[in-house]
Amino acid sequence: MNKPKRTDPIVAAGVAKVQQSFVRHQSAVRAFALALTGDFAAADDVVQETFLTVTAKAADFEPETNFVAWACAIARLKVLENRRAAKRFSPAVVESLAASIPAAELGPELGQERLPLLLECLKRLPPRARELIRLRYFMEQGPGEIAAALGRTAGGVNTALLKARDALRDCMAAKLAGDGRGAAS
Amino acid sequence: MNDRTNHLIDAWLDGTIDDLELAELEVALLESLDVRHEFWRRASLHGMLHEAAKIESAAGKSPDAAAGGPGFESPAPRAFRGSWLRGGVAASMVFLLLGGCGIGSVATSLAFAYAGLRGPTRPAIVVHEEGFERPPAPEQRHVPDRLDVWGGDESVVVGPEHGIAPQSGARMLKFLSARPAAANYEGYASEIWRIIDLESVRVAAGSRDVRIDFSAWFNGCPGQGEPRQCWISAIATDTHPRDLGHDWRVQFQAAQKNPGGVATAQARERIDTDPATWQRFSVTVTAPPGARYLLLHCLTEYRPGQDDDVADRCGQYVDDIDVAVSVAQPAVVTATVHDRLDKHDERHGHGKHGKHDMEVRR
Repeated sequence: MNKPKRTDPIVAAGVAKVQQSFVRHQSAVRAFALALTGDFAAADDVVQETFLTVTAKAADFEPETNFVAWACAIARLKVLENRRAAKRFSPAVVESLAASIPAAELGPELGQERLPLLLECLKRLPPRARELIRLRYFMEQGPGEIAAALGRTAGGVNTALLKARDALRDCMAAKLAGDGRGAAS
Repeated sequence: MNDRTNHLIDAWLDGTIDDLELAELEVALLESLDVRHEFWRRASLHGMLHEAAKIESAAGKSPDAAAGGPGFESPAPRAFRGSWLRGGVAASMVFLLLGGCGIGSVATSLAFAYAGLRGPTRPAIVVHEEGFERPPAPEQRHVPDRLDVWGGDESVVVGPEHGIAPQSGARMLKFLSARPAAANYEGYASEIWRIIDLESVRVAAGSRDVRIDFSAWFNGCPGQGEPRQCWISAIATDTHPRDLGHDWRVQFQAAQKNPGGVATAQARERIDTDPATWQRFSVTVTAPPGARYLLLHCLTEYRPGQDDDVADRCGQYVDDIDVAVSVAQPAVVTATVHDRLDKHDERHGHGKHGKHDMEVRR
């Protein structure tokens, strides 16, 4: 039986570091993928494929550079390759969006600073708006399903969701401003 | 930003956009940097809500229960029904998201190394390689009570000796006895174990099943009587290692009571009598919903009396232990092998035969 090839420990250490960075920033990569696919399942596929590519190309990453930008550049290619979502942006739109991300929206601070604020603001939403958010994100129901469940029109649910998210964003912006950390939007 | 644009962006993010609206949104995005920035602002909140839902739902909480408000009494969301992300994982992810400094305790528990792709949809990642080339040597205190160390019966890392060379590299592990260093009983099996935290695998797996391939190479001198029996086992379990105690066989009992939480696979065979050849044992197990830990087990048969002075002569050896994970394809159910390990117990008068499924490759 031939001897199996063993992984070089130096290479393995570099791979582990890159994977640690991925774990740390995966919320940003997932948000990026979700934005460009508009589909939870497709975004999960993109994140998974990105992780594998990041692992394979770990030696290409330069530690002094922005990991999230590097990972999102890979994720952008995975979005273009993905065929799972029913509706897809054209490649030109994907490229245009990927090139114009405001730094504050997908940086590492995305989860570190804002998630507690988001949870606090969720608590302050009116009950009906909170129920909509629960159905949409925690139960992963589409607006059509929510409308059927609540006996409302799909258009009404869309509008209510838009208002609920705007309220959340305003709340978080106010909290960030109050903490002296700048506005969220 | 006007209401129409916001409506189009939200319709995209909610998956309700129609073809005409998509075309309208694409034009707006291509023409205006402001629209693109607004898109990212709305997408950012959308992503955060999705992330918060994943984390809190995995922890069994609703959004405002996590924030200290009145909780929702609701089942897990669609994406996490049957998932094997659990509260501990979620807590760690929250820690990562909130603190960003817990990487060492979360991600480095698995030493990932890329192993290439086996196919377009079933990539394999090596999560553990052990060639005994570098310290630490296995501890000699029975089943480890913590992650990512080998532990078990008395053993020693050696170089080539008595006509046996390592399977690869310069070192291999030699089994010395059938009991931990401080124990005083007569055993019939020399064993080592290792517990791996599967948490980081979830990064690659999402909510899909995870296939685990575990292999090890054995060699040894024949001694008297029948060739020696060796085996390896892999146990995917939802039980934390600190709760394993010293009787890991409880996991097999747990498998009978809770087949959704534990899966095991085992390969066992007598090795040949030629010290010049190594034999590879391998098993495959699919981590079931809830499986957070992986217990690895390598064993060689020990013969009291005959093996008492094995430290000074040729014995039984293991080398090049590998564990790789791959993500199951969507909608493909991989069989889970359950093995009650009763053969071992029966051999020593502790039990009776159980179902015995194995895969042995040479």
